[in-house]
Amino acid sequence: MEEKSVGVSAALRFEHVSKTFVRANGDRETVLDDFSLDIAPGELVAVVGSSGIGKSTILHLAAGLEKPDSGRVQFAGGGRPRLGMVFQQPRLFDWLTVADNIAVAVNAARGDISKARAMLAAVGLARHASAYPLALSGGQRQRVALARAFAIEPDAVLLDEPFSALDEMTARKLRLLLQELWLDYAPSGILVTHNTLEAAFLADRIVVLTGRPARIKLVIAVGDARPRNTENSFFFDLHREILATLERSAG
Amino acid sequence: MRAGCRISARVLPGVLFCVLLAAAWQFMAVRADNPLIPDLRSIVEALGSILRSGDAVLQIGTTLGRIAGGVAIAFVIALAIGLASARNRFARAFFEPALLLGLTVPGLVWALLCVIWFGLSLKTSVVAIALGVAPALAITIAQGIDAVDAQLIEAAHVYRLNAWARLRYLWLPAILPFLMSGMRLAFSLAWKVVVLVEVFGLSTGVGYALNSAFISQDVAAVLAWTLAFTVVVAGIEYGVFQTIERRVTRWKKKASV
Repeated sequence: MEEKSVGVSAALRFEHVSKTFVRANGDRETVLDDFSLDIAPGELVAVVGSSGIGKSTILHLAAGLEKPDSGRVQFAGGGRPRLGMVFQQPRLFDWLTVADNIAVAVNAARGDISKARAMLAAVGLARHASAYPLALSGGQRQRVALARAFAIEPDAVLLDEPFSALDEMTARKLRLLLQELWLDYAPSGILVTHNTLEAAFLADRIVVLTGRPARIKLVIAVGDARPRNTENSFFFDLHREILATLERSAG
Repeated sequence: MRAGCRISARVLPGVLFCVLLAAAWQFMAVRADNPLIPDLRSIVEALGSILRSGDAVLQIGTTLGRIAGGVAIAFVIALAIGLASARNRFARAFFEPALLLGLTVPGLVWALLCVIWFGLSLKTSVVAIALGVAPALAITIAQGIDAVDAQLIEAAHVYRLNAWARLRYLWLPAILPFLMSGMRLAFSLAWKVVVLVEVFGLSTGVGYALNSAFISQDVAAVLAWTLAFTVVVAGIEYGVFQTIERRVTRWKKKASV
């Protein structure tokens, strides 16, 4: 099938995408049906919704880890973009040092290797460059994962509940760090999260999914310029609005 | 803890075991007072004799060379079968009967068949070792590949690591612990097979020397040869395997309790 590039208005486009999984017991479950979504250049779109609704499937489709049954997922330019991805777990190579974990990704992306060390400094881990991941705390490992995602100077960054395994204090620090990185690199991206306050603070647009297969119930443009202040009551109002939507759909 | 203390803590328990074993043997030999159970002095004298004559170096070197050749061939075969079995369902089903057969057939059978087929040649021992070792090694390698974390495979895919980078940074480091235990297993199996081949059909090697000592009912020489070879194998274990293992697993976090 000929792959056309998406228009200049979208960096990433999901076009009428459907995805059905066959479970181990043979049951078929359609997670996405005719799902469409455009993400503008430099925009971070948060996807929120209840567990198992298909949020991570959206990321996996964008990352090429899953193929859509129908429809298509396209990046601007039609080629293969530089993708950074931060998972719920850091997914580092434990046998490589922190610096080498980043260097491997940068080399694979044919990026600037000096970025690896600069990025470590940017995430506050310069003195841990030669440490192995298992010698670091959970928060530090997730910083390395963030550094790896941004060191390749990505066209798009996919964030799959990146802070959900961390304590709230560490997660707050990393949200601020992610905001700084977004200001510096301005990639396009998708943030999948259960945390509606996190979605409100980090995203430019919030997509609320409900139902099975997942449908877009609500789209909220956050409209607050970065850098943002975590204490802004505006985010708490958005958080309440999203929660109310989710509760209404839950019945 | 200082380096000296750490080494002592690692070495002393093993030395203690050897000393206790020697003491128990000596006690048994003195109590039995039988030429079939020689005392430590007789064993040490026999050991000194084979060392002074240069026979130990020659025969052990010959046997080790055969083991190295056989294990090298087995490793190449096992890597190909293990990789194919781990990554392809058809290949796994295809090779399964061969691996089960290979695991079931005793080393003695391979030794006898190879002596019959190839006679007195290097091929005999190398092929017998390869046949005896490859199935267990292939299964170990396949298990290692199966055990690689799927999440890391996904991360490698997202970050577009090419085939060489995946092999170097993902597959090899992830299966290295399995490769190490596989190589240990291979060496121990190879030793058992090669001795049989040397007993039945060759005129050199530790197996041949053991057989000669057996024919002359020289139990001290049998034990001396066994002891000499055991020391060499222990040297390979501590000097090669454990050194490599420490180096490649230095990233692992040690339990604090």
